Amino acid sequence: MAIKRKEPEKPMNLNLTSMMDMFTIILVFLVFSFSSQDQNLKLDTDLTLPESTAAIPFKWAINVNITPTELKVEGNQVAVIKKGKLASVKIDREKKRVTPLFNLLKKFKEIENQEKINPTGDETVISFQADKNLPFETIDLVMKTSAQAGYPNFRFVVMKK
Amino acid sequence: MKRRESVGPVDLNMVPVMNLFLAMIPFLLSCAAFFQAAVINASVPALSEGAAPGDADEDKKQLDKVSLTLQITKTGFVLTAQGDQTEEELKKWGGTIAKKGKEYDFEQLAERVKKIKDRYKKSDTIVILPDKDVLYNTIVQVMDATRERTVDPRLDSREVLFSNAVVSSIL
Repeated sequence: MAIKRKEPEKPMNLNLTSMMDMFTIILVFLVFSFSSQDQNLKLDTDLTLPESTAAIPFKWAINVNITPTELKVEGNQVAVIKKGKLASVKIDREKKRVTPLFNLLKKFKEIENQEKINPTGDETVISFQADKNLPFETIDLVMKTSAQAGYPNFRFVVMKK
Repeated sequence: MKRRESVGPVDLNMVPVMNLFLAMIPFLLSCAAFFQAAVINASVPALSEGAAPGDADEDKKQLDKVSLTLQITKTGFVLTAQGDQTEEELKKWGGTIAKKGKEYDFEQLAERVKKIKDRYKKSDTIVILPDKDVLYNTIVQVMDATRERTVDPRLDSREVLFSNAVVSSIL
């Protein structure tokens, strides 16, 4: 009986064409969805922004965030929120303002007046990120405090529909 | 004469391209924004040193402009118009838009605001006065309904209505 001699193994060539196709598609998709959005936008994980048809892009501004649990300015906690209302914070009911928030924003305004910190050169506004389920009572108090500290104009940050 | 050898298919070395792709994909994934944020401009009422409405001279009256006040109450919307026009004329643009079941009727609000804008083309200011229990989401939806109207969704063309929104509380 003749014994068939085993042929020496050749190095296998992997066909990378289909993988290249897939990578190209992913790359094109990612390049198109690459956003030049302002990196100043800091979203909180527990914050649900309302959806809107607004088309104005995000611009530089002072970040005031009202999540279901806290009120923050530029990432620093100013007050605690319980059941949609400001808790354990000094509120001047007569002047309708949150005292620590007013003091903080007043400091921001003083610094701004001394040094040009706004890179856009326009009047500085408040970028207002609030949870969609918060009552107007809380929002109104924060807005009125900001206005009294010298920031009467706001940009409500929303999710594009 | 030496016979020329036939040239077989040449295998391209794809490894450097693959390396490049593998480096680019994680970078782009980390930078990709899977949501798009936008903003709505708003302000709170400011003290004015100008004359009060109604004090304008007869020849300076702006008859092609009104400002709207929209109250958001538990039962629906209450719309009122202010301007240099006669009281009877302004009164016909105001009124109540009741809730549709448990939901606010944003469509009817948008229609009413569009009619007012068509009649008074220079109008741009709306004062929104929500009740203290009204949710922020409702206020944003009201601003959407009164700020602009989509003319053609395919071309994303929009008609500006009342772009200057002032948010305040009912005193």
